[in-house]
Amino acid sequence: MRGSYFDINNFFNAFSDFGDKSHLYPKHWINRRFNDDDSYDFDSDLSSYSDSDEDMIEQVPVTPRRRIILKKRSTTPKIESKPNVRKEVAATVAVPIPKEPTIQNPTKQPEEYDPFVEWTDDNNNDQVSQNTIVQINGVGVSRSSLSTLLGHTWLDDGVINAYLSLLYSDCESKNLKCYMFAPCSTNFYEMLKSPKHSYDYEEYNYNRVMRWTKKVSIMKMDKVLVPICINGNHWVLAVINLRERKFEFYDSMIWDDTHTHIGNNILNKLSRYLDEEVLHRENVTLNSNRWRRFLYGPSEIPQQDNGHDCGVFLCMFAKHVCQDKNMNFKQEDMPEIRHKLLSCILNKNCNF
Amino acid sequence: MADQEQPTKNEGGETGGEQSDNHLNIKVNYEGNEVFFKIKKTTPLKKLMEIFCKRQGVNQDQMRFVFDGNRLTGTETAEQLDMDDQDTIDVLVQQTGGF
Repeated sequence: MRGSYFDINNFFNAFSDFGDKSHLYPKHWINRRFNDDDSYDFDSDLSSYSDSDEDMIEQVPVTPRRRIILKKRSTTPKIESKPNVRKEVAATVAVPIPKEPTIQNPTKQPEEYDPFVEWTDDNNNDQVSQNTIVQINGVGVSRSSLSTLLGHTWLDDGVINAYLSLLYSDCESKNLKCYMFAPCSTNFYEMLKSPKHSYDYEEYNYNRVMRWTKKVSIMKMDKVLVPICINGNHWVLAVINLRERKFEFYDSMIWDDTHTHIGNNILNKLSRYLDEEVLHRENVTLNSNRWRRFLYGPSEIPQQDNGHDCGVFLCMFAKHVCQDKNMNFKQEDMPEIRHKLLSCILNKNCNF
Repeated sequence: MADQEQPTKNEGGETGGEQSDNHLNIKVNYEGNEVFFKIKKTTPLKKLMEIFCKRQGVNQDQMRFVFDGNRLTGTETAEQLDMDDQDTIDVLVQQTGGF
């Protein structure tokens, strides 16, 4: 066999021949030169790689001891009582046979928890409300939803729907004719508008919410409250005031003229919905486009001065609209109101 | 796209026409895509919700299943909700807002 690719002894010996320039030459040149004395041929050097590869696979000479090992290998499968067909296979693949018992061991491990348990009729009711803390009108409020009431977190639709459905049942008990599409209040406008363009007047689909008012007639209500999530980051409240024939828009954060643009677009859709709904249910044409619109400004309704309280403001707007009260709350009250909302939902009573 | 997907469990190898009394074809609308499910009238919709979320790879806690203004919790059956053939269940994502 020729010299290995890098033999450290040869490498250091090579310094004597090459002097300081030894680092410029490939190492195998050095080895090669050392082994083959003087004559160096580049072609033969390239071919030597293939040669050396063959050398590595060369057969080991059969020594007397190896002969015994080979005999043992050929005899062991014969001892096992296996069908004749498999004898030859076992002789050639003799090595993996003893590994079989070790592979079978891991199957005896204890069963691991599988999150994707196949659904059967048996586990129907046990995991229905794993995360649910409280049930309001049949809809569970999850732990993650309730936790958004704490600190400076943005409120999610679970909390707002829960509070509005509490408010709705409270209004029913007090004979206040307010409706807020409970228990899916926040989803109503999301369904009414197109999924892509929230402000475009043309993007509107009445058919998706046509069956929402099966049990309730909107025309008999005084007020219809529509909580809206704008752009997925801001909560506002739109109110259809059927008693006074007007639309109201409550936004807790107004900083420029886009507020009126957004508000008008939302109220356009709601008036279009109202017309279509009344025409569909009562067969009456109602030109609600002519109704007055109130896009309340900062001087008329309380405003938030931070970036996380608008959901709380929405709940408070809804409460005061339903109960016809003056809006006398401020930004400073919000931390307290968050705690009150939490206790309201846990106690299933919307008043505080 | 979604028309090819039919996550139905054929029990006993029935044919479509014979079992139409017990089974309903329900559309599930998620962000404009419709997935069709074939369910029994008496099966709680939890099964449908779980299979849908598993197939879409979404977290079920963040999904709101809405049918005719009712939020589905999973215990309802199609019979209780007066579902008809080809009715649509809408799937909406959790909404948040702060400012």
